[in-house]
Amino acid sequence: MNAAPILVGLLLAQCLLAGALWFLFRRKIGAIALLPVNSPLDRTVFRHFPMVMLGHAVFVALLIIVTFLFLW
Amino acid sequence: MNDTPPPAFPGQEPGERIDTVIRRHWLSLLRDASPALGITLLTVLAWFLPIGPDVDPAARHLIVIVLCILLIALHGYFASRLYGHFLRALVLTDRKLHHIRKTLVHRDDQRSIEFPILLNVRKHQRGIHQALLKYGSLILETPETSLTLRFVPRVDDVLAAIMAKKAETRPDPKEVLEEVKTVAEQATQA
Repeated sequence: MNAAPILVGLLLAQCLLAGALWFLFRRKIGAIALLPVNSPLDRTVFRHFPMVMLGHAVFVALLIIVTFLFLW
Repeated sequence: MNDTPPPAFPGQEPGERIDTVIRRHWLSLLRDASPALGITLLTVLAWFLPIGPDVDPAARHLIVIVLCILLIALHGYFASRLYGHFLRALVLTDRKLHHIRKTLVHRDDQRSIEFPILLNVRKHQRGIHQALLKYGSLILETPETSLTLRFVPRVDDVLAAIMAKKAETRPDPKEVLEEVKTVAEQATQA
């Protein structure tokens, strides 16, 4: 079985899911985004939210690629 | 020209002043992250499994595909819960307590309770972890319904703030008595 189309399909699914979740979040957050965030951890995550979520999506994509390299 | 600033959150009345904003304790995310952490650990462990030449390639390919689908699904679930964490807030103002709760797709709730109609506030803190990390649950009771707030950080401070607000906004007994007397007089005259 050829790995390339399956890998590309899975990475595309990951990109679409991450993008859809981000789009839904931006649509819903509205004015609540202006309210303060209490804990230092939450504050840090929220301040760099686009980068945090992009980092998470890239991390999952890397996990998928490495899994294919090691186990296919 | 209208000089009224736009509301900072849904349900805010003109002139209503925000005192405290509370979001859930970060520990609530740990439970949501555990499936994603579990599948990540399983995948990393699978990388180092010794796979001999006798293993059927079709079975191996199927395992890889299933692992990757689970990775995408469970990490997607965690991301949606993380977004949900920031879509939820408890806002204490000078007049009311507002509980805003949204999810990415289906939920868009906003409940407001005026402090004078708040009958009772109960606190629940169970287990040593809740005492150490200073979080717990609050149950707010009104004549019509009750509202349970879980994973409230600094639960003692929040409880004290709500009780102080309730005491501040309690109507003066003399004024209430005067009002009752007026209503009674009007009823007798009628």
